[in-house]
Amino acid sequence: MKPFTVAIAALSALALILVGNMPEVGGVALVQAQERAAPVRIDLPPDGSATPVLTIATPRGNVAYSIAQLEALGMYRVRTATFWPGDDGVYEGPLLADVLQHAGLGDAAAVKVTAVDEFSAIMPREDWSRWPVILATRREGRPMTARSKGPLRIIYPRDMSPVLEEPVYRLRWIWLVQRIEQSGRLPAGG
Amino acid sequence: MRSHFGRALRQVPVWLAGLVLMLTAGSIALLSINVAQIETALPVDSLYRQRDVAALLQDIQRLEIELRELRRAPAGTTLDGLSLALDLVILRHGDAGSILAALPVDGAPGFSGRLEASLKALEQALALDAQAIPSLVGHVADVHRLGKDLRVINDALFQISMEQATAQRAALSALQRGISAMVVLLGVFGLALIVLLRRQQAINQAQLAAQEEIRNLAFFDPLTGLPNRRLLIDRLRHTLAIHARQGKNGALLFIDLDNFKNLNDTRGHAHGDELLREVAQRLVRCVRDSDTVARLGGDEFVLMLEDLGASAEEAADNATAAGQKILESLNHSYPLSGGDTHSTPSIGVALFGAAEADSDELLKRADLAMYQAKEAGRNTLRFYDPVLQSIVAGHLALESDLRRSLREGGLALHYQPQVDRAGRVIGAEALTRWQHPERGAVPPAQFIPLAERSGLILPLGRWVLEAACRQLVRWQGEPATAQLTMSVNVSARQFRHPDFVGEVESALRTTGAPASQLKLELTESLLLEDVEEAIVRMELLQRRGVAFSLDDFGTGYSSLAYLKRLPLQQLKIDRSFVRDVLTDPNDAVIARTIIALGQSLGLELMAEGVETVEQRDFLLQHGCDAFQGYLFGRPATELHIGDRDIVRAPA
Repeated sequence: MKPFTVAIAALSALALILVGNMPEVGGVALVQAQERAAPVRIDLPPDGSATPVLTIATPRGNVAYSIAQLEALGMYRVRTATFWPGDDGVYEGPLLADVLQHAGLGDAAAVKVTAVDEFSAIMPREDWSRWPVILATRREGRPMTARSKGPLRIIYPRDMSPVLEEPVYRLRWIWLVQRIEQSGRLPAGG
Repeated sequence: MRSHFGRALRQVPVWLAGLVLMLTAGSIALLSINVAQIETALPVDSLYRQRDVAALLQDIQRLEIELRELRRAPAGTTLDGLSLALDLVILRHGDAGSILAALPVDGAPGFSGRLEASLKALEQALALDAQAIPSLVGHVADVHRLGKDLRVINDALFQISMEQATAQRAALSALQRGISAMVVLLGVFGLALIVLLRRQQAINQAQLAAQEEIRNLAFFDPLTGLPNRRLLIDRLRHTLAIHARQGKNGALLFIDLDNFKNLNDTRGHAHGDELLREVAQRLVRCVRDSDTVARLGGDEFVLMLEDLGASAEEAADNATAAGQKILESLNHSYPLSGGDTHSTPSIGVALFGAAEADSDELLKRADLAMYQAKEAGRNTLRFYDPVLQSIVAGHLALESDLRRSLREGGLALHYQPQVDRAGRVIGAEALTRWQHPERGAVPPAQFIPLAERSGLILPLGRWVLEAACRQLVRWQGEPATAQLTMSVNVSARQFRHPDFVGEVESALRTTGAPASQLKLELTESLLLEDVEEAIVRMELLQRRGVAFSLDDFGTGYSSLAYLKRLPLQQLKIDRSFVRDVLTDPNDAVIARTIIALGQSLGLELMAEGVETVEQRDFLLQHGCDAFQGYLFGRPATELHIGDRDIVRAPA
């Protein structure tokens, strides 16, 4: 029957248009953006006090890290946009994945990151295994003060993917990082 | 009027399909528009704004607590806690300041300026170090007021978020209602569409059936189911064209039932109709599938018989045979529901072949011939062409004479001797002779085709076989003839008869003749028809001891491929090659080749029609094994073994 054929053809076309609008289809552009915005390995001599600033709680006990110890794990630099005014810029620090690996939490399903002001958020392993998330120790080469969200701050390579622009990631950009521990539960969403 | 309605009805599914399509497109458009609206209306930004303000409120309250602590225990207290609290407020205000300035809430812009001033004063006081504590404590009331104001702003922001969420919920339920309505409509219209299409399909089928019915009425006779005049004329035109082009002959038989009107009047139309149906069935059974049986109306039937032969005379004989079959079939009594009925037909025949008459003219001729059959006393067959009529009549008379002769012993067998290389008689060929009471001797070339056509060949063949076997038995009684073989000709129709093997066996059994001295002569054309079946039959008889000879070799379409597969003992070189073997080099080559071929296949070679010593000597020299011909004896009722002087081989 002719009307049926026409109807089916029209519906198929509509379905194709709807599918075509989904973000995954623009894969090529995505890969190019990722390469541009990815953090790069830099050779920066460790510079900072030996005062412990970070405590990582592991099943084998607490491990304390100073800025110098963290920077010795290998420095990366990323230029990225953030969610806050006057905050975009260049950040340096070790990869969160390297830090967790060093502390023995590399295989944890999720970690809970707590700030000086008791704010905390849970990061699933997917975040640091899929993206080169940085535990920044410096901004534009200089150590960060409490007033400029230092001395330790989580930096996502936000420009690598539109996925990282989702609001759910905004809560995971923790500053004034003081403590990291294994978390039994995963964050909701995202 | 009705056709208008029908057209409108046929349009409905198209409209419905369009409607369904539009509804589907509408639903999808509505869905995507609404989802986009709801996405923009999601209070994510508002929630983050509120969280930032709440965090700032928290930090200010912490700062207030630090200041109050400082007032209560001024001595020996470090300023670290206060310093951190101040850092946090400044940090947070750095992020939230622009948000506060742009808040859609009364008092927010003013608040931002006041907070900034207080923070600056606190920072300056903190930098003074020694005198710091009293001046810092002086800010407690200030910071407390700021906290209260921010609390009001925060509540207002929460109010805005709640309103957004409520609006969003309303939009969602409206969307749900809209889409539900569309889906329900889609279902209803879709179902209606399916029902309508179904109905239309049924209407179409009914229309097709009606068209088929109309076609049947137009071309077929409703009573008998036979083609009517129109279809007959159509087929006749077609057949005439083909026959004229291919040089074939066919016949039109016009059949009228004798006294049908009386029957109809006395026993009723229902009875007459029943008879016509039965006649139609018998007619169809009488002819080949390719022939056409039509009913013109009333008690008139017309048969169109195609491809009856290359000559008019042959076609006439075949048409007569078909007509005889019909006469016989229709003369049987009809067991109808109203009681047994007798009916006879009168048949008129018009031949067609060369383009001389059109279909109407032919029908007229057949009709006229039918009336001649009626005048000739009914229940008979007449040709339109008087010449053909007399020829066919002659043939029929001869056939009837042959039948009588066969029954009354007017046929006789003559035997022609066959000799070996040394001239010794080794056997004889049995030849049928017919002595006609008035016409005298009728040559086999005349009466054998007649017997083939009429089916008399079967009883004739049986008779020949039995007579030859009886003669074989008589020869057994004499030492001089006890070893002779008997060659008997077998016709194609006889050989293909399903019970041919049984007939031969029965002839041998009833007469007691030795099978090993019976030789059956077959022709090439006979074997070509169905080689596999022929081989089976020949092998069955060969197992009993019967021998086979291939007659007239070299005249037909010889296929060497099957020659080696057939269980043959003998090849007979045709008389046409023997006759000129000394004068025509071609015939000499052919004769020599046949002999060489037979020798290489291990077959015995017999030359027939040998009339001179020179012919015999030539064939002898080239290896021929046996001979038959006037030189050694003419066919006669008795075999003369004594006349051997002329046939003795040269020393």
